[in-house]
Amino acid sequence: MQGSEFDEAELFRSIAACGARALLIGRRALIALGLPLMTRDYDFWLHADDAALFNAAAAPFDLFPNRSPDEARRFGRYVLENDEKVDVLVARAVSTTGGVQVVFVEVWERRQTIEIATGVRVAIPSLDDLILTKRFGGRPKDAEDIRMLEALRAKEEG
Amino acid sequence: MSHDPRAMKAPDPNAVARVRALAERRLSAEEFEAYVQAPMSAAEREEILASIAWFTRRYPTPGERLAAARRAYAQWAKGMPRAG
Repeated sequence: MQGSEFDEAELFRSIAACGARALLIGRRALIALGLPLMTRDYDFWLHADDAALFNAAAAPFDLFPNRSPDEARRFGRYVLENDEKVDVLVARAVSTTGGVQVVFVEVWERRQTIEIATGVRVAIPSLDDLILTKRFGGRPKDAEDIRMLEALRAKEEG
Repeated sequence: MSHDPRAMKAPDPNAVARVRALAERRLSAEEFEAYVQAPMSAAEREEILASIAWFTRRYPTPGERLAAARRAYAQWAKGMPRAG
């Protein structure tokens, strides 16, 4: 994997312009906030009705979905993949490991945006919601990421 | 026998697969909470905040941070055996 030919900023520009309610979650969001981490994947959480818009934005980058939007809605997730991999959640709500229901439209209402490149803003969950989304997976690395986010939150709260 | 100290032997693919499985396993809710809720020492907090301070100083914008992470991942992936 080269990791350099793919124009990441242009992908974000295309997603920002497509009109899909798309939240960047996962480690890419943490990296954008300043946490020095590594990851292969892109993780997005979309409004369940916006998969077709999102797929159209990704198609010029040869990223193609493994499920139709209707199938994706039934399964709650799908993948866009070539040399890059984009994991997409399309569930209207997801449960954390502790059983808390996290509802997309509520997280979307509380979103923040960050500028990735000139004129390109990407939506990410609020810090509190980002911590909740890290409780979806329940893997050891999710727990480590939460500890980093908690330290960042404590610093921001002074 | 000559020895190049720069050359690192690629890890055994089976060992890598085992480590991946450990890292990707799903913890029980109790295990997960125990890890997340464990008290954070001052040293751990300082280490985390120092790493964030370095990263944001070195790469001041989100775009620069994402690009740096892509480069770092690509560099790391070059040295790893392909997943079977």
